[in-house]
Amino acid sequence: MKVDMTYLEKLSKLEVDDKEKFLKEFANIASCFEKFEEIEKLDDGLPTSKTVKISELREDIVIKSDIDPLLNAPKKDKGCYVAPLVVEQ
Amino acid sequence: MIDFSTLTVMQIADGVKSKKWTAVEVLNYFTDNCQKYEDYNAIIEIYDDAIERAKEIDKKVEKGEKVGILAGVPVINKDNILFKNHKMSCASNFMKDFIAPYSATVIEKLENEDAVIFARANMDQFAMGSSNENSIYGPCKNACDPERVAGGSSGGSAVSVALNLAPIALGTDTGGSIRQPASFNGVVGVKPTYGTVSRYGAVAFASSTDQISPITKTIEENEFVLKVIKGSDCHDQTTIDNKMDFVKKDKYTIGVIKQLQDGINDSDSKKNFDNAIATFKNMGYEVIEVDIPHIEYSIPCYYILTPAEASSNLAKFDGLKYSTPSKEATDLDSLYVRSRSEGFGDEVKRRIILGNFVLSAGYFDAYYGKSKKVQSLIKLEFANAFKKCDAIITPTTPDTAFKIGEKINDPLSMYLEDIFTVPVSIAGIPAISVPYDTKNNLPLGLQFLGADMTESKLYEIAKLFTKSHKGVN
Repeated sequence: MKVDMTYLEKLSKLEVDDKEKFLKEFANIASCFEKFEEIEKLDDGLPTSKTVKISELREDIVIKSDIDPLLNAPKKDKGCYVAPLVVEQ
Repeated sequence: MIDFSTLTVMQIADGVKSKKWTAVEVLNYFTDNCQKYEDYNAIIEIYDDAIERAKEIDKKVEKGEKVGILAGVPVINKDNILFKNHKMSCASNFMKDFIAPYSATVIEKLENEDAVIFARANMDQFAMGSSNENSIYGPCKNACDPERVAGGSSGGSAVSVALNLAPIALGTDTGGSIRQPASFNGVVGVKPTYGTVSRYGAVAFASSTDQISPITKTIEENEFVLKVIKGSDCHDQTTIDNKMDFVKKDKYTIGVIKQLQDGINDSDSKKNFDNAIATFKNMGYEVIEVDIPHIEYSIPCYYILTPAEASSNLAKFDGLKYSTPSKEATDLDSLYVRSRSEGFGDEVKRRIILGNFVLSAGYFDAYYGKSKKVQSLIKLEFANAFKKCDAIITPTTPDTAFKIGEKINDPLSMYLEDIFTVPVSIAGIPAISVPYDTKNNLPLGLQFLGADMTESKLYEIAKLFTKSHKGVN
């Protein structure tokens, strides 16, 4: 199994400090997935959806909320989040 | 002073209602215990306003107002369940200073019954781990041997109940995160049928298997609390109306899974399990072998499906919507990457990357797609097995709690700790872990598995079993 660490880091938006150690552990974990190769072709009709029936959806109506959306904002100004400048040149 | 640790949840509430003692006295007893056992690192924070809440309940009693069935009962919350205006960190740097903007449905249900949510418990970061070693607050220590792990991810919750820091602690169980620490610390933990308890307000790890549920000292208390927090919820469309009722029988049929017999680590643990089977036979119950042919694929299936979901669920933690952005960021992309790399621990990173791997082009069909089909097969095989028996028993864990540090550098070996608990989560069925024996003075749990929505039957069988059972040690 070939693992392209740079590609996976990009997909995950993460950086791993000790790549060699990580890859070794990762390969060890992924080796247990190879057990799946023992399983012969599975019935295409097998469901791949939820294990229980989904209950009814609630009505899509606007309700009054007392939740403060800015409660956890590190910086706020005039009822808005203040985010760092991230527009690139 | 009254020793409240000898009383059940129901007795504590009755005493508050009948003015035998006050909610404040009860709370003070348990907060004193939290301080006494601080070294175990089970508790992250005792909420400052809990005493006011206890006083409110006492006032209600004093005025003769109606109070709930959990009047004045202190509850410890897991650090990944929202409690309005209180900190919730998921034991992570990322959420260290996060204040919950609303309360989880379970918290509201407990508060509606006048419980006092008074502290939050240590856990594995974002509920990922089997030892409680993946926490920014440091590992929580096992209640029976502080050199050993508490289990995880709800380690702090299980240790809290075992050390009498609270009569009830909430946990979350995705692949065994309540049952395994309950087993390691000699307390009772349940993973109900998927959908029984609303997940609204719990930080999602793997939405298709996550469940919130209680840890208590006795089976009776566990059933009592689960009945309070269960129920359908318009905020969680996967919730079901689990009635939790059943018709009692004189004798039950108990199943033992043929394919799991090799999963018990050593001959002593096997002796403990065989002794449990002997108890059922002595009770006059029929014990039969049941076949779940695909159960051996549960571990790879679980470690494909749950990281896949986690990689999506944790994508929102980007340093802007949650936490503060990394100071090292130079552009938008590096802001995401640096904030996430600084905010997540190794195990969380591992699972996010694993999830992206199994979902990536070239691997999706071979891993994720196949896992979903295997999941359906396992669910089907369990349903067939429950046509022949009322409950299936397995040990909860392959062995007793291991030493702190023993498995931290071997993630696969840590994952294999979940061999008996993950099949239940994959199938979405209920299971209860009940202490049933000891080995070298460390507790062992027995897991009772049932068909969908048979929690009450499982509680009943577990109660009858514990009345008759004498452990090997």
